[in-house]
Amino acid sequence: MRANYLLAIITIVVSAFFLVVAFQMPETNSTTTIGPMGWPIMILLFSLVMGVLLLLNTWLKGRKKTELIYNDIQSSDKNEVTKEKFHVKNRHFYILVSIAIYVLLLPILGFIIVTPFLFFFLAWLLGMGRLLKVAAITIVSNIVFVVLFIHLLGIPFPRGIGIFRSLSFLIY
Amino acid sequence: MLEGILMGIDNLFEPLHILILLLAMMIGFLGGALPGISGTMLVIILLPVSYGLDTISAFILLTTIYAASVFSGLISAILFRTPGTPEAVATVFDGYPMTEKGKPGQALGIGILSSATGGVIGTLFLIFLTPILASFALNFSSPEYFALAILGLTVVASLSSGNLIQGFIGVGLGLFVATIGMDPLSGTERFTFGTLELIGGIDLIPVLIGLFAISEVLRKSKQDHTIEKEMQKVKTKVFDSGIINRIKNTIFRSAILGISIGILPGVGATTAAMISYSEAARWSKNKDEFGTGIPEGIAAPEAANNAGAMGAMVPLLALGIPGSATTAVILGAFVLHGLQPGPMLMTDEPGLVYTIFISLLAVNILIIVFANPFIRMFSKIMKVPYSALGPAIIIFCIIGTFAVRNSVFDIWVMLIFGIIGYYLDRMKFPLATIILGVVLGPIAEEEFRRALQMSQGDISIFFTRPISGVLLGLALLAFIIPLVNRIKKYKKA
Repeated sequence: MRANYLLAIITIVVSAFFLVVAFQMPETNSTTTIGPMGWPIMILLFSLVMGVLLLLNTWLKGRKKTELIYNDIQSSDKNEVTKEKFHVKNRHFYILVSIAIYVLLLPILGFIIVTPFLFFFLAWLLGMGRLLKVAAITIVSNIVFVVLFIHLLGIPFPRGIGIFRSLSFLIY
Repeated sequence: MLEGILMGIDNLFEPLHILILLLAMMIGFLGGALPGISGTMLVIILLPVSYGLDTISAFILLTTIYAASVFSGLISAILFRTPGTPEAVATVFDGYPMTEKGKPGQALGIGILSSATGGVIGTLFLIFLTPILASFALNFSSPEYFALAILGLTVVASLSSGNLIQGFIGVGLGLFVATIGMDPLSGTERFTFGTLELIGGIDLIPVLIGLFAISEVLRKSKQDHTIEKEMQKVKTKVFDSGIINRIKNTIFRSAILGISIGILPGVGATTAAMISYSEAARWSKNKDEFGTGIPEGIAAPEAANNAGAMGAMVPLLALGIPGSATTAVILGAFVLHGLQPGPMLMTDEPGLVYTIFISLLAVNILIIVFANPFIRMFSKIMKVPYSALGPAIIIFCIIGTFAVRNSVFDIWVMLIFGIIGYYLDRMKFPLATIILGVVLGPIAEEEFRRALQMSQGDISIFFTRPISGVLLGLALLAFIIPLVNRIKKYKKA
């Protein structure tokens, strides 16, 4: 229920924001009957209406089910005391952060350097066990990535800058 | 057509293509059987590999993986009550109870036979329907394409699984994402905020990979995936005359139903399997036995999902509109290889299209040959932990995203859509509706504006042309019928 409220509000805010942007765009001399902003405005108005409808719908349903939800929350609160460890519960968050750091470092350190670090961290995080095993699998899988995607398929991955760029030339 | 079929056979029987077909089959079997890797994800993962191959090899690889993974989802559904792919959800209902009765071999045999037969029937329809539909679509002009896109968008009703407003929000998001970048008709920048990378627009592949693959890894990262149960030694019997006599009508009916549902843009094989299961139960004399482990309960969803998967290829190849999430990825692969699926593909690239047909036919026949050895091998592969699979999937996703346009920015897009997908998935939001919007948005917009240009702004062009009028009428019906049904249900409640 709360998620639906949040989704409705985000939809309304985002649609309204982009509608303002769309209306502020000067319509260029288009050769078509409908200009470049005509279609996006139609879609954004549609999304705005859907956001409002979802808000109303959720509110109406919420009024009917208040008691039921209260009971649900109480019972789920008991279940909330899970046996999950903190890092398991937040794994998705760590994965997202690690990918974000990876993407930030990719143009600087290059594909060859950052990819094994990401693989190692993720394998450890997902519970592979002994570090030696994690390291061995990381090395083997990265050799496969390099051979398959760089040497065989010729995908031009970022080489990094400075010394990292020079280092990458030793491999591809 | 015969010439095309012979060309397809000739192409497929080149040693490299046969090798790719067999390899792709094994990959598809493996991915489909392992819970946590869907067919869509497998095709996404193998997308970068396809860049390095010639067009025919690339599409043998991708379409074979697609067909093989739809089949093998039944293995873990029957043996472990864990469907390997979403398409095998309905197979659990009777497959697992049959295993519990001590007949896992019989359950697998029924599944293999039904899948292969359903797949072959589906492919035959694909071979005969696609050229007819494509030649019919050659008469289409902008109003008809717009109407077709709108008809495709109305599938949101069935994709939304009961929450129509959420579905419409998803479609709206997808349609909006498709407008970002340079307007194809006037060259005006839209919603780029001066960002150079956004001028080229947001590509479909990072959105797909983020929404489906990354969000799935995030979700699975919090679960335990090792199947604890020891895999027992199973003796699979595919051809049992008594069983075949009992299920042959169910297989045929379900395959026809599967392909009819699969052809509808956006519906896909999962819906085909579910509907086919419930229809088989509705028309059966033993309807009370459904769910207790009867052969018909396995045959119906398995024949339907394999036929439906082939059906989903019809609108993709004939009209350039994907029939499911996986075919949307295959559509992306066509674009990456500089091809545009649609009526002209049959005319311009008959060799490629017929090779795809023949390889799909070959895979569905070879299922009977290779399923047994694979099931024996599968017991060993089941021990690969998710701690090794998860990181590999993420790296494959990153590589696949980057390789589309050699753009680091696209990896950011993938990550953002991964986050969006993860949180939306948690609230059971129909993610496929976003893809529907992204895929159909550009077609709908361009054709809408072109049509209005043709009619000098007169909107009646969409209703006065017969094909366009009929398609829009169907779209209206597809929208109204579920709405009326919901109102009826609401009044009854």
